Amino acid sequence: MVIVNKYINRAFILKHIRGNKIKSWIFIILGGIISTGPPYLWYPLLKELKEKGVHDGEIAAFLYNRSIKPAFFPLMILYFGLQYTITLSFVVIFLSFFQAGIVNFFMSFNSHNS
Amino acid sequence: MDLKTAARKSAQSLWGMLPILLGMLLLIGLINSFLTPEVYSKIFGHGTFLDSFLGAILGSISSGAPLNSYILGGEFLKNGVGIGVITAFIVSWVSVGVLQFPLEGKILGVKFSLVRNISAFFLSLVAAVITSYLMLI
Repeated sequence: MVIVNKYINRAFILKHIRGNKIKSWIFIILGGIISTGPPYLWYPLLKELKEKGVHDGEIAAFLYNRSIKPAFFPLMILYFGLQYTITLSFVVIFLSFFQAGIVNFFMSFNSHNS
Repeated sequence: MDLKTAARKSAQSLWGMLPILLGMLLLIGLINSFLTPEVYSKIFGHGTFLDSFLGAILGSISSGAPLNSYILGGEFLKNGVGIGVITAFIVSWVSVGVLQFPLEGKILGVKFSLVRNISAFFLSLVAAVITSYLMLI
């Protein structure tokens, strides 16, 4: 949080997340995948990112991509096999776009009506 | 923003969420004491569709390291539970946070948390269907 407060300002976010769509999605997906620890520790940071211009859908996609845990891949492969581990990882990344779309749709729908 | 201000701002944020965080951790401890592996194993066995739904519900109300969901999922697999059910369970374990909902709602907004958690729940079922299908071909 301290690092985010110090280094991640609106200009940084606009440059890396709000600028190029492909680049921003890579940022969101990889961020979700490599993020560790309990989700509630990420909420304050995500709130700050939201305040700095990141869409609700992108926040949701970040949280959804947290389902992929590279650190636990060896155990996952041991229990379920390599094919399953790879397949599920790609399915989660694919569905995170849908999650972003759904969340953005409902959030914008609500804000238009309020 | 200088380092001192950034640290002070972060500490204020953490202090503000401390009461809910403590309450949530106590609730997680309480739920985990009820949801033992034996309880999980007794729940399944009602057909793939209902089991997937139950798997997603169990994953949603469970909390803890994702490692636990893989271990439990591995045990389910050994006991003949389908891969779709296990997928719904392990995806919802991380992506849906019923126990974290009060804190998530307070920090990120109740509407956002509601939409995110409900859509993540149904997407865990979609993930189960797609993964099962792809594993068959």
